[in-house]
Formats: sequence, structure tokens, C-alpha cells
Amino acid sequence: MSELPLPKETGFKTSPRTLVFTSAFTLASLALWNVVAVYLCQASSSNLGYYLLREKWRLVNTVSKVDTVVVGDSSGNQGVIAENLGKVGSGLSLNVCTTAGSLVATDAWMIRRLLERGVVPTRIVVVHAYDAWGRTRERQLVNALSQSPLTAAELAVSDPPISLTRSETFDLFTAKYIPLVSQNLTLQMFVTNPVAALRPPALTGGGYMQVSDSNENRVRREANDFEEMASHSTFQPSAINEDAIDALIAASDLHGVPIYFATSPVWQGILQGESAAFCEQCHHWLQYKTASAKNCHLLFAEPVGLPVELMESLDHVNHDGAIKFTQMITTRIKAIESGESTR
Amino acid sequence: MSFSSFEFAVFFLVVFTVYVGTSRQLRAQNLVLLIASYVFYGWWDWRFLGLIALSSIVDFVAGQAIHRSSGRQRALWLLFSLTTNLGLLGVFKYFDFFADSFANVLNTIGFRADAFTLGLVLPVGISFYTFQTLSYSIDIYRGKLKPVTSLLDFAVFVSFFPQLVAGPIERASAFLPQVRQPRTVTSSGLQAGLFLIVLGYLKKTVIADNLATIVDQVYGNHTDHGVPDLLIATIAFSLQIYGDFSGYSDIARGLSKTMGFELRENFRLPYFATNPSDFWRRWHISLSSWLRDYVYIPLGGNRGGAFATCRNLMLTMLIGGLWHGAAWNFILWGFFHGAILVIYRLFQGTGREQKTPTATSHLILFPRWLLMMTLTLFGWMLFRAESLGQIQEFCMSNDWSLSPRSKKWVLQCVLYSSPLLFLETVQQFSGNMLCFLRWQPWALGLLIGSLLAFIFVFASRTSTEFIYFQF
Repeated sequence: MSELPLPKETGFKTSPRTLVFTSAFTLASLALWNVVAVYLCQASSSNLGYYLLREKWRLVNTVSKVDTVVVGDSSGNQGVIAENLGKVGSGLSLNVCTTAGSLVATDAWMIRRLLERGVVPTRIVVVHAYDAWGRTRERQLVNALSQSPLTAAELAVSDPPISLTRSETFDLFTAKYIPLVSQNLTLQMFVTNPVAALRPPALTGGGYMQVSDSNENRVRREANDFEEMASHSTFQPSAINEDAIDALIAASDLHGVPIYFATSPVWQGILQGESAAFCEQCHHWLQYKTASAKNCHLLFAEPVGLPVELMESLDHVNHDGAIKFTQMITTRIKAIESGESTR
Repeated sequence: MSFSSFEFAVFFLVVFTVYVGTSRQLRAQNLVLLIASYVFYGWWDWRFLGLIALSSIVDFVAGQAIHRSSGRQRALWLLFSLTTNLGLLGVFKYFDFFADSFANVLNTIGFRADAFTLGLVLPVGISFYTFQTLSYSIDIYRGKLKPVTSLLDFAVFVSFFPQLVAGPIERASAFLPQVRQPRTVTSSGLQAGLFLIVLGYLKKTVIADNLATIVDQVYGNHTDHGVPDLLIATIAFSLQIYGDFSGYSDIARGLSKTMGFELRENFRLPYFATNPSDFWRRWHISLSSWLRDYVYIPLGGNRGGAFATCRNLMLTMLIGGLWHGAAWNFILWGFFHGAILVIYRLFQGTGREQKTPTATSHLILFPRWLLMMTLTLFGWMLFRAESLGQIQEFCMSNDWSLSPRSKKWVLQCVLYSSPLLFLETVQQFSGNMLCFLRWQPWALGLLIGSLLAFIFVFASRTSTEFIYFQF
């Protein structure tokens, strides 16, 4: 035999009934794979944002008593050590910071959920990076909603309202229920690097995520990008985030819970030039927001600058930076609550 | 409008609905196909529509004139068709290449010459529909075909959108009867068609598009990579070009089957080939058989002794190489395949071939397959290289160092091609490309569902244009 036989193309007669059965089994098979994908994605930590959202919501839904609750974005997630905040009060503190650009879906709704469950915190701390306050409605909102336990009925009565466009509703549906399509990168990890896909990040019981390393190159690169951005734009909070902040302030006011706002610490090298001006504008706005409400405080009147050894990126600290920043927060809260300091 | 775009999905659904809706009126249905084909083609650049319309009219008129006339006039009409079609192809595809090459030759021998180039954009698929219309005129001239009397039918044959831009290159004798007869959408056609479409998208979006990144990185920056990386990238390219081109053919044939058309097979598991002749019976069958019927056999085929046969083979393969593009590396690729075909033919002539399968025949085939695969890969290196200088550097390279990404690239090649390897092994050993359709509905449903799941998870989300559009 000099070569393998050449295959031919011979079709087969298929009845309409067989075609229907084949189609039904195809759909059933796809549905089965999607169920497997749902299970794998729930077990995976490779999409850090999704993992944080799921874990932090789990904390919110299971805690029965809480002292200080920290809400905010990823800079707060790795910047505030919940366990160290216990030194301010007496009970358990929680860091439920998740991702940026979704204050309506995370910060506002998490506090609302806690209060609905009758878990009234002693105080609320809100921490966001400088550029997070101004983020407009973007894909992150849909991503945040997809990993939250909020039902369609709850979204319908959300305050501030979350009205999704048709395309966002479709995206939310696929992100929430069809991971086979929406979470392909997470699923790929199970084949290409299963160990990494299942390795959870170092998250403490209070919700703080520890990052050990500093990264000077990244800090300087992001500083250049930030300077570039600041030179072309002025600080402007987004309407959707401003509504979420108003809702937070109203909730804290209603329940008599003090609320503290802070911007994340940044590398001290950017606190000059255009970047400094941008940060100042953000602080002015926060001062204005906090001054207009009772029980509402701005923790730091000036930007908090830290040396590069304490930074993982421009506005994300490493563990040593988190110890320092948490210490600064506790000191400020103590001072404000003891009446030693004004707003 | 690429097959892997969202617009195409919408486009096909609309066309298919109208097509089914006009199934009782053949003329209306053909008109729907023609309009859809022109919209599909004009989506790239509406100016190309003039070319395809011109080509259709010229060959429609020439076909009738050849059939009516006799003697010298008959030959003149054929010449008119050949000149128009090859003239368009020459101007748009080859003029700049030859002008540039001629100027380079003049400069090399001491004359000062600046190349006069036209800088024209190459109309997509021109090589495919030109060969299709040429075969129509030639077949009428040879008396093998009667001319079509309806311009609409002929225009549908030239521009049929599923295979317009990248084949398979259809023959009028096989396709025109299908245009002229009522077609029905059957459950058999739908099942086979949908299976081929899924297979095509697997090849295109998972294999070709993902592996393109490896190929582009190495070939685009070859000085940073050693021989192992070049080998990996060439294997990746062999999978990329196969996935890309046969994927397109599968989708084209699948779409056609759903509408009741049968297009010719274009690939039959080419990487299972164990010798050059076997490879060309499996790779781009519609082109290789076209070249056999309209170039190799008219040149004399194997009728004039060993030397003439070898010369004819070499000329045919050089034309085949040039058909792929106006660049020296394509000509070199054609020359290489011509050379290995000639060498194979000389060895085959010794009569040592064993025709009866034996227990040890598969063991004997393995080294042959390995040798053919090595030769095929070398050919793909010539084909993909960005210049002749790059080919020379690759051949002279003595850097055997592995890059940090080598291992990852190997794993990617294995991962993305593993479902296809499974499917093709079953196809080869069952002897039927559509063997899966015989499976029980639950098993076939599980297979198609699993392939779709694999596509959803592993498909590249940054789809690139089908490679063969440029030819």
C-alpha cells in the first residue's frame, strides 16, 4: 500500500424527525457544557474582579454583626486591613471593596443589603481611587451586577435606579447565565493553567486582599499615564457615581451611622504638576459632598502620598502600604469620633 | 463581509429566508441569489462589482459565440475570452510584480530603470472567479459543454456568494445544471450543511485565528527567533493555512448544502498524504484538478515520455504557485512542489510500489508520511516567508536556542488542533468525510454541541480575514 485510501464524501438520508432530534441533543449538549462552565467559573479565581465580587457579596450576606464596613474599589480592597480596623471599635470589621466604576451596583447596594438584613454597622468607610469617582456608566456595571445576588425585582426598585439598556440587559444575561460565551478566558485557564485557575488570592476573613510586592516600573508607567490624562482633563464625578454616593449618605443619615470618605493613597511622586491639580479638584468635590451632610466626613483633606516601596501600582498599595494606610484611617476616625478633629 | 462576522450571520439569515420563500419560482430564487451575491461582493468595495459583471457578460457572450461559430472565428472568440479574463487578472494581480521585477533585472545588469507600477487594489476572489469563467469558455470550445442561454443563470454561476471569494473553483458542467433546476431545502442537506459550517468555524476561529498570532510574531520578527521557534511557527502556519482555507471551503459548502446546492470537495485530509501526488489529490482539489485539466493535459500531460512529463508537471506547478500571488516566494513554492512531484514520479516509475495492503503496510507508511510532512512544512516556510532574503536566513540559521514562549506555543498548537485531529482520524479510517452523520442523533448532537462549546471558549475574539481572499 503506497498511500492511505482517499476518503470519500458520502452523505446520508436524514428524516426531518432525526434532524429535530439531533438539533435537540445539540442544544442539550450545549446546555450541559454551560452548566459545567457555571460550576467551573464559580470555583475559579482567575478572574479576580469576579472572584472579589462573589466573595465580598458572600460576606455581606452572611455577616450577623459588624463594626466598621469598608466599601470601595480595588484600591480599598488591598489598601484597608479589616482586622486592623477592629482597633477603632470593638466588633468585627469588614472590607467589602470590589472593583471600580460600579458604586451603584456594589457600594450602595451592599450597604442597603446589610441594613435590610438588620445588620447596622457602627461606621461606613468609602475608599476609591482618584479616577474611579468620575467613571461613567461602563461595562463594569454589567460585570458587577452579573456576580451579585441581586434579582431582577431588586434591580427594578434600586435607589439610585439602575435602568439597563437592551444591549446591557443582554450582556448581563450572558455574563450571568452563559459563561460559555462570556467567561471564555476564565474557562481557558482550566485547560492551559488549572493550578492558577483554582488558586485563590490571599483574602483574609475580613475581606482584605494582601499584595506583598511593590512594583516601581508599573508605578512610574501609570504615573506617566495619569499625568497625561490629568493634563488633558479636569476632575469630574460621574452622575451615576454621584447618585450612588448620595444614596450612601442618605442611608447612613437615616440609620445614624457615620460615613467616612477617603481617596486611595497614591505614589507621592505624582503630587505635583497637573496630577496634583487633578487630585486637589477631587478633594474639593469630596469636601463639598461631605460638608453638606450630617454624620459625613472626609478622612483626609489632602491627598495621601506614600513612597514607591509601599506601592504595587500608582494607586494600589502593597501589604506594608496597607498597614500604614489602615493606621492612618484608624487614627483619623478616632480623632474625629473623639471630637479632637473637625471634618 | 467575512463569514466570521456578525453582519454575515444576519445577511445569510435574511437571504435564506427569502430564498426559501421563493422556492416555487426558480427565476425569482436565482434573482435573489444574484442580488445577494452582488451585495456580498460589493460589501468589500462596490467598485469591484463592475469587474465581476464585465467578466460575466464577456464570457456569456463569448460562450454563445464560440458555440455558434466554427474554425478560425471560434478560436478568435476563445482568444477574446481568454484575453479579457487573463488581462483583468494580469492588470490587477500581476502587472506591478512583473514591472517591478523587470526594473530590478535592468538595474542589476547596469541599466537605470524605475518601475512603472499601477498600485491597484487586488479585487478579492478575482483568481477564483476568473478560473471559473475560463473553464466555461474552454469547455464550450472543446465541445464538452453547451452554452447557457440565460444571463441570469450564468451570472449566478460566476458570483454565487458562498464560494465567490475563496472557492471551491466550480465547473460550469457541474454547477449550471443546479442553477437551472428547482432546488429543495432538505433535512439531509440541512444536517450535512450545518455540520460542515460548525466544522468550518472550528477550523477558522479556533485554529487559524489563534495560531496566526504565533506565526506573525516569528515571521514578522525572525531575527529574534531561533530554529526551534521557526519550526514551531511553520507547524503553526501549516495548521493556520489549512484551518483558514479548508474552514472557508467547509463553510461555503455547508451554506450551499443548506440551500440545496452541491459544491465540489476541496480538501480530503491533506496532512494524511504520504507522497506529493497524494498531497495534491487532497489539497485544494478544485485548483489542482483545474490545473490538471486546463494546463497539464493541454501541455501534453504524461503522453510525451519522462522528460516531457516532468517539464509539464513543473510548468503546471509554477503556474499554480503564481496563481497564489504575485511574489517570488509563491513561485518558489510552486517550483518546490513541482520538483518533489517530478522526483516522486521518477521513483514511482521503478514499479516498486506495493498495491495490496499488508499487515506491515501502516508501519511502512509512517516514515513516508513523516517525510511528506517534512517536505510540506518546508514548502509552507517558502510560502509564508516575507522575502527571499528571509528564506535564505532561515535556511542558514544556526541558532538552536528556545525562546521563553516556545513551550507555550507548542501547547497552543496541540490544544487548538486536538479536536480536528480526532475528527480527521475518524474520517480517514472510516473512509467517509461525513461519517459522523451516520451516528445516532444523541451522539451526533453531543459531538456538535461539544464542538460549539469548544468554539465558544477557544475561538479567537479578534478574527482575521481569510488568507485565501488575497489570492
